[in-house]
Amino acid sequence: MAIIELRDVVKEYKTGKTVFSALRGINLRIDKGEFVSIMGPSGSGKSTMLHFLGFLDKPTSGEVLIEGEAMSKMDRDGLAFIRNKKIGYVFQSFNLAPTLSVAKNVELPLIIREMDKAEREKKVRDMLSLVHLLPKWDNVPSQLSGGEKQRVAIARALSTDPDIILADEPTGNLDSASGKDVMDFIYNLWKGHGKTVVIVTHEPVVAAYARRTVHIRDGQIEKDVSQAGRKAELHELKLKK
Amino acid sequence: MKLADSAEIALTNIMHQKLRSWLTILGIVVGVASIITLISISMGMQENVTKQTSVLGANQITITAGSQRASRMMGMGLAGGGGGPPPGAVFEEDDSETAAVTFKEADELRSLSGVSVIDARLSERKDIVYKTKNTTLSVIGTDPDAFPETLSVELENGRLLGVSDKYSAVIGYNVAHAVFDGEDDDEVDLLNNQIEIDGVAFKVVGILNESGGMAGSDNNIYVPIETAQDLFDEDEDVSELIVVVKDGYNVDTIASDLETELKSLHDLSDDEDADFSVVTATSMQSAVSSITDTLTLFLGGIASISLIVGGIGVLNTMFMSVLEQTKTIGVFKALGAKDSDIIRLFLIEAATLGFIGGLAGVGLSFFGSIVLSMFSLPSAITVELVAMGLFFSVIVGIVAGIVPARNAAQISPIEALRYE
Repeated sequence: MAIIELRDVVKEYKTGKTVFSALRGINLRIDKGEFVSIMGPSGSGKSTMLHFLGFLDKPTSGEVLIEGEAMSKMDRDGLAFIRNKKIGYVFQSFNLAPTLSVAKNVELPLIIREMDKAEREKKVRDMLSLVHLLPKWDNVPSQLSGGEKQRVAIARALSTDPDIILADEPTGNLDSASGKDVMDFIYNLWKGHGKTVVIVTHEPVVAAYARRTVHIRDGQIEKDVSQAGRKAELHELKLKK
Repeated sequence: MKLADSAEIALTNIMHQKLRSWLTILGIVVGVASIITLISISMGMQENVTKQTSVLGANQITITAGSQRASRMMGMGLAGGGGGPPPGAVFEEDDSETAAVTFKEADELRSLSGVSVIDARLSERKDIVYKTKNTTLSVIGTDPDAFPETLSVELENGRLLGVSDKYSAVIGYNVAHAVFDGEDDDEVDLLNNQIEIDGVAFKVVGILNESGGMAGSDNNIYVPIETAQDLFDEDEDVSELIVVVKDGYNVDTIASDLETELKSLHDLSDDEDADFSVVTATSMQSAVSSITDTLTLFLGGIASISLIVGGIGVLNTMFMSVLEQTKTIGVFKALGAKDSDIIRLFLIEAATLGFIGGLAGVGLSFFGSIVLSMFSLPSAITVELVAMGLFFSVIVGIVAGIVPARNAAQISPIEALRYE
């Protein structure tokens, strides 16, 4: 079953009289439990596509569906509800609230959801211990390393227990060691918790974690490759080493 | 997002921008403090004036010659004293000699129903000598029969004037206890002693209790009317009429009856301006409070301007705050915050700035009131005034926060996240 689907999605940006087409009719279907990477050069439209999957933006034309529900039929509060309830978003630049503590940042989606305070605190504790950042509870983001920031962002994305995890170049601002940590973490979430993961990257190493890679060029899907079977198993063996 | 959580996040934001927050709050502090202080000054003045005028008897009507406007100005300072007749002539150039009120007219007015007694008085400022000391005081000729009824104070010592008295005087509290009471002397007892008024000897037969207020009897010397007529060489025109209204009659009704009657005696029609003035305790107070009300409005208006300027400070801070936190707004939205959540965050931030400013402003105005009292400027800070100050500071904060908060809420999450 398709958990999320793009149908003839077009996105155009107008600057004065010139129209720039970021996406030119994208059709994509992602099933529950898939691990998909979206690859493409800069300006190919891959991030724009992820914004639609994350219900952060509306297309110029076409339709985005989540579990069969059409985005075009939702109002602003409806979109906000989907973002909070179904989606965990991990950004390249972490996007933590700079004035709030690590714990408060992880708690934020739960605060927005109006979850009970005691329940919230337990959840934050679980999430921070999952990403090994319990000792940084009271720190503010500026006191963390890049890798730690991204782990806070992941803990925040997971705190609401979303069905879909979207990551936009999650290793883009990290050194290769922290980047590998973060990717291993995301991979284990998919493997162990049955989440649907969509990851945007231009690094083949990162894309190799996924079971399916969608290649984008000039706002259109160029290739959609499945890495099933033996190749994937080999890949897993390689990771275990 | 729950209100308590929104408040916590908003407060964290304020704490995070300490310097800017304090500077913004300072604007509100000055605004609120100046509003409360200035209004409290005019309220203090009103309180003071009310105290001063309350010595006028509630059942008494004072009629003086001259136009309403001129004698009201006289009445402000010298309701009990009065200068040479006619007092209105000082202010009104076109006032002719006919403007005076005469003893004969007083007799006519006595027959009006509701009038208990009328004391037709003469008053002039005269040189007073007691032993080696001399000064100038108001000497008032009064009808010995009517005198007791027009007094709002009791006798401290001695007796009031009698019908057979000629060169007897009753003196006010200050005359006995302050004016002739030298520093190096022991308490001077003027009772039964002689004072000289314009060179004529009078025996002090009574001393009045303290009346307080500038319109009271404290600085006056009362002598029998017939003696005063001889002394001042005046037996036609009175200085003022003190009319005492009978119990059960409405003072304002009698006042208007008196006005109508006196107008007809002066050959004036009803729609012509009177050439005399009729003042009751309530009309006096309303005249005074119309002045202090204007003052309150004026001072309040000036102070409001500074609160508005303070509000513009909040507006500026909130716009800056929204701009600075654009990216964070995007994060909040990406995590599922609704537009109303964002608006609430910024409104709480703005209202808090206003409230803290208001609180500090109230504190500062109490301090200002203490400083003012050192310069013997009266001020009255009431609970209502404090509540009003706090209310307006919060309102100013919220009003200044609305537009920035709405702007913040309407940014698309993607644009907000891209903002650097």
